[in-house]
Amino acid sequence: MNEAITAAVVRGLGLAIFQRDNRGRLRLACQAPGWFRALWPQAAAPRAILPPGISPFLENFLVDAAAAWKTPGSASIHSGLWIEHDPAGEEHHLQAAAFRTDGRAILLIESPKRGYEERTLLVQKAHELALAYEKLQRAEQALACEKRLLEQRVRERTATLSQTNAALKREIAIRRRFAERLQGIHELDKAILAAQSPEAIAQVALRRLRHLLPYRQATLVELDAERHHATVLASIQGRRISGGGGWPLSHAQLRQCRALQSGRLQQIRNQPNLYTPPASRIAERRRIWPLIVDVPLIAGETLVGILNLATDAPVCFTAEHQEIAQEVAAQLAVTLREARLFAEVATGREQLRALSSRLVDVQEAERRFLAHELHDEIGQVLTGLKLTLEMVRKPGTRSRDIILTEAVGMVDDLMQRVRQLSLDLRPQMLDDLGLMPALDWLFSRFQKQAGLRVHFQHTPLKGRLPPQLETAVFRIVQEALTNVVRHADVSEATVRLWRDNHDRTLGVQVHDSGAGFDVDQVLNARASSGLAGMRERAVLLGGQFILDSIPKTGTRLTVLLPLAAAAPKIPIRRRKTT
Amino acid sequence: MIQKKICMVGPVSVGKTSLVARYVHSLFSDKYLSTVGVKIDKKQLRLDDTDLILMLWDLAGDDDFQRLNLTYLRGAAGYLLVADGSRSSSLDQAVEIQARIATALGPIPFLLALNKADLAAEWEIPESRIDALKSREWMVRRTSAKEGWGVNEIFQNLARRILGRSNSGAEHPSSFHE
Repeated sequence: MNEAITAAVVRGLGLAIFQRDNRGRLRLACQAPGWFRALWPQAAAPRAILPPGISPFLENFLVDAAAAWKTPGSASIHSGLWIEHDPAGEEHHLQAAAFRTDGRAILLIESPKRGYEERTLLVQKAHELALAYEKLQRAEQALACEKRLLEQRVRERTATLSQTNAALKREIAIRRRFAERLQGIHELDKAILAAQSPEAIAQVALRRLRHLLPYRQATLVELDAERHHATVLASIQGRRISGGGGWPLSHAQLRQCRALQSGRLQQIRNQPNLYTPPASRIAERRRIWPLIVDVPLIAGETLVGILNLATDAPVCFTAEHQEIAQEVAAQLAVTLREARLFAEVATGREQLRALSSRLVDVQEAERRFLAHELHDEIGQVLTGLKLTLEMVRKPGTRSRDIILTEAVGMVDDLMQRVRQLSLDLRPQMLDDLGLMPALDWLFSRFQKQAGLRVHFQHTPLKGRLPPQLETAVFRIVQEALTNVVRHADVSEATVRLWRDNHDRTLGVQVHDSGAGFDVDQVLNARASSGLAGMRERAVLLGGQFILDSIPKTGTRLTVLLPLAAAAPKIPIRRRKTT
Repeated sequence: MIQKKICMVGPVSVGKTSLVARYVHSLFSDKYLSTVGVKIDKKQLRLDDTDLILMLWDLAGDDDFQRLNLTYLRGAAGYLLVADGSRSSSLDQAVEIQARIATALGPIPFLLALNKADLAAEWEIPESRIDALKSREWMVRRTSAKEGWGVNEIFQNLARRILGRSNSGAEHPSSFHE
């Protein structure tokens, strides 16, 4: 390429070319381009020397350029772009290159305006993209973090919801169980209210209870605390229901009753069941139950019975079961007491009816007796007396004196018969002399007429008792001794009479060691209007009638009568010495 | 008149050019323009009793497209290492750049400017990180080219450090906001 073309190319490209001379100065080797003249007019003349310090950037680059020029065969080095301002304030973008060619050190400076703009645009876009990418990455990280937090919150929320759900399910199950329990108790209540007798109530209750409580054997025991007596109203084991049977409470059972009086149910582990009736088979009575639950039936403040539940498994009776058992027991206690009261009222009515009937019978018997006595005895004697006395007016008969003597004898006989009749009806001495002489007379009569020897034991009475009390005691003793004569097949009996230390109660007891009888059987049969009469007399005076009898052992009848409500005492009249 | 060369170095888009524009021309533009190449500005100041000319070399941000040419720092009396407080990654890059400079050129006075302090809601540099840098004898300042917070101070502090005069110790960052 010739120099003219080279110069044209250099001009066309806007290059400023400097060649280093042998003194190390950089001399302009071409025509200075326009941008150069604008920037550094002082160095734009042909073959001008580039003054030092003209550009701090260029000066810095020339350090590297000098090193490159010293190294033969080294590649060209480039300054990179920099910016200079001309005196007019116009911005020029420059870049320089240094290299060696043909042994000459060359500095080439250009102002690549288009290239600069393109590169600026490219860099600008690249930076914007990089920043956007970084922003995206940060956003992505933030999103990932948010996602993790969200997932964590979802997990926590899910766990909370799961717990809440489980709690709700438990609550629903509890409420459902509670509703079923209420329904079961309600049905049981309806059933026992519909039942009439205590036994029927017990049977219905135990059958229904099977749906509410786990048990192997359930027994409903009615207690008579005063008599220390237990009666099985019903017992259920499997599908078999049994009932009936009573027995005196043992010491262990009494202890258990006292514990139950507190109202709390008792749990007994690995023991025989105390409330298995004595009449049961021995194996049954000796059976060891893993768990027995005795639930008290308390009406008012009285222990009226026990709901006795025996289970095979020791841990199957939960707190909820206990609650159910106690609810049922409370209802049963009230219902049983009402049924018992109803039964007692019914029995009372029946006894009253029987008493009324007996009263009529007794009245008729008394009238028959009186009619018989008056007609057959008194009437005959009076007829004989009349005939005897009429003989006085008839002449030629026996002497008057003899006739009168016979008549007087007949009158004496008549008086004796009337007195006897009067004593049989009601001994006058009971009203005149009081209870003790009347009883003495009664005992001697039983001795004379029936051969019954009566041992009389008593405490001092310190005065007369109210008439109704004396009558009641006399009649009860009279009836009891009559029963002894009729049924006991003995020749001796004991009568005890006492007042308690506080003068509140008068006690009378008739005891024999004779044939005895089954009290429940006799009372339930209601065959004995005599027993009913005695009990009525005691009850009418607010007293208690206690009858203990064991077949082939004897009978003990005890009546306790309150003295508090009695009339003022009448001083006792001492018996006349006979 | 003492003339000192100070280079502005740091990752891209941290506000190096804006700091120079705010310091030299009291100007600020929200529009981001990448610096391509090197632009040199001059700032004359009187520091205590000394008249001083600072030759401020605004170097293009260091990234994969434009790696920092360490020859530009030749003869520099110090440099201002700039990071964007709202981008913690820029501080990581600045720390890496400082290591490169220290390796190539040895210990040169510098000051770390955590710029864009006006973006408080987006601030990502925890105090613990700043404390860790201070424990390495770094001078760290929060600046805002947009608001002008701390701009004069960083150049003056760096100049003092270059001149070997006592610098104020760690400034409370909030002092720039008051």
